Amino acid sequence: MFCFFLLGLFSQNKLNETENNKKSILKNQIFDEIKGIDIKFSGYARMFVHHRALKNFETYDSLTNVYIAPKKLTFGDGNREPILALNTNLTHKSGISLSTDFFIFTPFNGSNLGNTFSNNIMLNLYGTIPTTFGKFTIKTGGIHWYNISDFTMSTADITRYSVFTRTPWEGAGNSQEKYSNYHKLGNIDQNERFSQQAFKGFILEGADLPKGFSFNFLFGKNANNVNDITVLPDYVPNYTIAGKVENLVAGKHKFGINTINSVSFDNKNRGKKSGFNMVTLSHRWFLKKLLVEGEVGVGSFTSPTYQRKWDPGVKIKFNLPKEYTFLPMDFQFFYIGKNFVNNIGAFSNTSISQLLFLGRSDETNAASSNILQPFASPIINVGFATNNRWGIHYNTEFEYKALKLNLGYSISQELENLGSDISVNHRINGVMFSRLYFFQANKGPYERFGTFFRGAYEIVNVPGLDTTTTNKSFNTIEFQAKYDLKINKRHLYFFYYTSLNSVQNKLAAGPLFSNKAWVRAFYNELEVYAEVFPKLHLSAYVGLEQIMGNMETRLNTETLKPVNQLNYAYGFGIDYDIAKNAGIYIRQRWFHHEDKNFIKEKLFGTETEIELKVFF
Amino acid sequence: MELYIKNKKSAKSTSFILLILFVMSSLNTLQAQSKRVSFSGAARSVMYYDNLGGEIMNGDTTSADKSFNGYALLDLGVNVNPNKTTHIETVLRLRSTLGGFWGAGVNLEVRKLLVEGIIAKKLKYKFGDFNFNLTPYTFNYNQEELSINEPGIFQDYKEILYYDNLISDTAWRQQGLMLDFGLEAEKAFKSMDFKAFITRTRSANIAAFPDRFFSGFHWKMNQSKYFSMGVTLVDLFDLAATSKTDYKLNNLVTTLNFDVKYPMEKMTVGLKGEAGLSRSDYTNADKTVKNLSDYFYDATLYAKTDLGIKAAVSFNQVGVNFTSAGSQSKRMNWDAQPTIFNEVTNDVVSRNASLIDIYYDETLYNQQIQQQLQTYLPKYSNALPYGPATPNRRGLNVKVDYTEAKKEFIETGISYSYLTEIVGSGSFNLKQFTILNGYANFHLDKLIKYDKKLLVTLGGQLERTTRNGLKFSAIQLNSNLIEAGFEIEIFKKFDLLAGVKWFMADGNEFLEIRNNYNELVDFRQYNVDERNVLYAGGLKYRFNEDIFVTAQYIHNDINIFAASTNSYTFNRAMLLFNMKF
Repeated sequence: MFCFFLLGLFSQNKLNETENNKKSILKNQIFDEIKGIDIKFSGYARMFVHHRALKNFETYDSLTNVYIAPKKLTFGDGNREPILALNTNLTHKSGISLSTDFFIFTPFNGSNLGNTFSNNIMLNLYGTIPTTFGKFTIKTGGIHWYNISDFTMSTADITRYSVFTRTPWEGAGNSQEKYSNYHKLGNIDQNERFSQQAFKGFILEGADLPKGFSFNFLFGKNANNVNDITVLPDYVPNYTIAGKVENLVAGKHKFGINTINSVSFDNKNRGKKSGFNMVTLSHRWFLKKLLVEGEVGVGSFTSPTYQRKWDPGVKIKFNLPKEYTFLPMDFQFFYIGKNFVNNIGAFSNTSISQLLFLGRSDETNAASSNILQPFASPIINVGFATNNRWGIHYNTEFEYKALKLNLGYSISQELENLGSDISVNHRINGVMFSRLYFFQANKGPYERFGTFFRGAYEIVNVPGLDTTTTNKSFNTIEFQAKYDLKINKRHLYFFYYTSLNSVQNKLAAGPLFSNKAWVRAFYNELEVYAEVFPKLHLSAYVGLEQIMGNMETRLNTETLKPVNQLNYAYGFGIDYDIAKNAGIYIRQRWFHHEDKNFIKEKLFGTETEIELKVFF
Repeated sequence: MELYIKNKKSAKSTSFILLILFVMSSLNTLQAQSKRVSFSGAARSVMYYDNLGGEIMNGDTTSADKSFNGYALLDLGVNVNPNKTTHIETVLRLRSTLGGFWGAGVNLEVRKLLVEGIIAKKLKYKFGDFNFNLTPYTFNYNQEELSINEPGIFQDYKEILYYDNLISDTAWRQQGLMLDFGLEAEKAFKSMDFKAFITRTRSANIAAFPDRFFSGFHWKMNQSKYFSMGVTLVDLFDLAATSKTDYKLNNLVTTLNFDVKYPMEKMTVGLKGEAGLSRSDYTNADKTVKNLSDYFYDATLYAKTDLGIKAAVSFNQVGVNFTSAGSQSKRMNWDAQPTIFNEVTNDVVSRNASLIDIYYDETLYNQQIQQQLQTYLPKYSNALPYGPATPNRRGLNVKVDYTEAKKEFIETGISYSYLTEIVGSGSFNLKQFTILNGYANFHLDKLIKYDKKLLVTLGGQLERTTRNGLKFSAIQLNSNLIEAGFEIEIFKKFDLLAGVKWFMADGNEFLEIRNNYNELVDFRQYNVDERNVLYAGGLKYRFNEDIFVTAQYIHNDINIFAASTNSYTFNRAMLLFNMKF
């Protein structure tokens, strides 16, 4: 009946498509027009092949029982780096924007297994609120790369570094510019992760406020506020509250009050609180052309088993222009108490091991956790600082035409001897070691070896050290020479670097070269970069590293002799710039690591890297 | 068809996403060339710090008492119009947890994939994910409990819960195919619309259950401005032989609806209604067949005046065996456990969802049509737990709404329902239900000429259930809800918000225990005596209507008077940055 009814209706009428039907597609499109959104994609593709061939690897891993294949071919070097990084940026006319980056990786293993599509680092939301009394910016999500001040949230500057081994974040198609910049400025293209700290959460910034004031406030997590979920659920609070109020005076002087507070709990039920607190005053001011900058403050650490005590931290730096002293130079003095701790400041913690175990329930439960950074008195580069230590750094440079020389000097001493371990960096073969063991501690035949991101360290123990009376003293001299030899308008760069370090039981004017030093570490590197054609560069590298202990350090029970390591490496490379945004890079490197007295510690081989990188 | 990807877990899906991403980047160029491609979506970052306290935590040495969580997410909508009659839409979700660094804690999924268009300039089609609803007795996503006139401070996060659960008003998200065809005529009728659809609501589990589909047909005719009518037929059915089991369902609902109205100079009056039949055939595992069938009707007399008054009187009856899965499925899943503090006491007892969970926990919402009548909590809704299509109900509703027409400074309304059971449940005596609710929005800025927003909202509901009888069968259940909200714009686009929801219930009832065929088989004693109060205060900055940042503090006080040791408090501090673009 119903069908007949319909048929009857149709027969009586001239039927039309409804207007709704004609336009429905367009009407219903939620996304028909771009509503004030500007979206941009950018990123890079990086095809990186790494090959490593090892010799006498069996001996090297006999104690730790870790099998490392003698030969290994991988796409990527094992660290988390994308083959395709796709950055997405959205901006809206209302003052908000959003940035995220996609991580796309395939291991090239002959199947789809192991393909990864993920978020690389960030998923950031931004909003700006302009007002008549200032501009306020909200940053949420993360990761945001951020710093507040040296003591509260920052990382130390990196200078005098090798540029031979390419980093994953380097540019492409600009080889000449890269080497020229390093020659002229002494800087290398560092990724944000090396100059700032990673932070996720909520950030409120106020700028252009009356009287030259500005501020920021952070609440969330830094990369160390992560619970070890094998012992503590991830929802158990572990967070950072930090911030800064800063005043700009006369357009160039800056004074700021900074704070950082980290809180974590050791249990999901009535967890006891652990963490550190810090308040500092930072300053940067000019006395005519003399720049004085620094920071002073107090900090403390507390946990159920560590009673809170406050200690001071002081750092002051004088930058003298060459108009005053013929050569430009800077002096830096620091004094940092043992309770002045922070795991995201521009200084190392060498005093409170519990700081490494925040978010890991307690130290006992964390015993099996990996220690991602050395926890011992470290030999530090010029310009670096640690807590429980005072020190002086001095830098100067000299320039004559294309020859550039710079010199660094450092002397420091512990305030209190808290342990008998000394940590020493493996500079020459550190990247190679970090690819052998990823983020591991207590590795190697003698279980004294550790790795961090693109680096490795060695622990040298001084068993007879009287920790009640003897404070360790440290000396470092760094020297660098850079020269640009132009031949037929082509550049030929020479970069030479040497670093002399010693640790001993009393202050010395400079590094000791005798057995009076518990540990001596000497590094030498020579790099040559030749512009063969505008798009083609050839490079060569030689590096030598010696780490020597005296008879007071732990001896090998077989040879009854102390650590006596020789690391060296040499290699060559080819850079070919395919276009302004693309290049192909080859590095071949022979490495050698040997301890003459700890005889199981012997490793040598080759590393080959082929990298094709294209930005878009 | 759902695509869901976790790291290194789905190679095929990953390849698919890789393809999408490559296409996206190339589409960037296309976008510049034409408007064939556009982007939209949503993003959000939220952090919350929670604390559980009160008497329930006394002596508890195992349960979590505090929690710090959060995440950021991006829903990127990509829209492609390859030609004038086709539209392709996908929404990709990227979610990163607060505690996840260096790629940890990242989740990727496809939230929407839709192709729609017009064939031969006549037939509109949709294939993929789309939202739709039909009539209140055939296919309708019922409003959840405890929501009369939401204070503004609670609306912000509730919108997020709806968005995350793919809720669009009373429309369900479905995956399948829909065809749509329309006609216009010069005589006999103005227009006709035809809809036919089939969606899959559940994929088969080879050992446990077969594929389940939801299909239907809807015809609507607008005869004139005085009269319209429609016919709706929906069928939820299992596809035999898609699993080992012989269990099979077929739930068919057929309705006829109409609307007769008479517009006058300053007033419109009308009568509308819907009536229909349902039949459910259950084929059991042993191949025995059970049939349930029943009917319903609903008639409403209504009027609307130019003075801003709307009034309606309705009467309805829904048979005891009326089954309509598409309209009886609940929005809240009361069997789900809250995400935060889901276990309490040293005996590891599951914590029941409270007001704060209803408003801030997206996992408590049901996204799937449920054949079986779901669990409901009498304290929250006992009269109409399954919406208008609740079976075994007969009753009257009177409703009046008023909007002040000149200054528009007040909107208010009141509704009263009286219902009874048709057949006694566990007793010859029938349950009687009354619901009285009302709301009012006072736009004080228009009253006192404040040049920014100043709004006070009120809402409330009283619900009573009674049944006479002997001591063990008598029922007396009362529940009361009061809502109040306050919003003031202190500076331009910068608001101060506050709100409270006060809920109290006491009395007794019998929970209905049903078998797989929705038949009542048993009852369980249910007693309640509690007060549940949710307070919130916060600040909010609006970049525009769809983009805001807010900081809120929420306190939920749960008093279980019958067992005071189970009383607790739940506090939350929250930071939220929400975008839709």
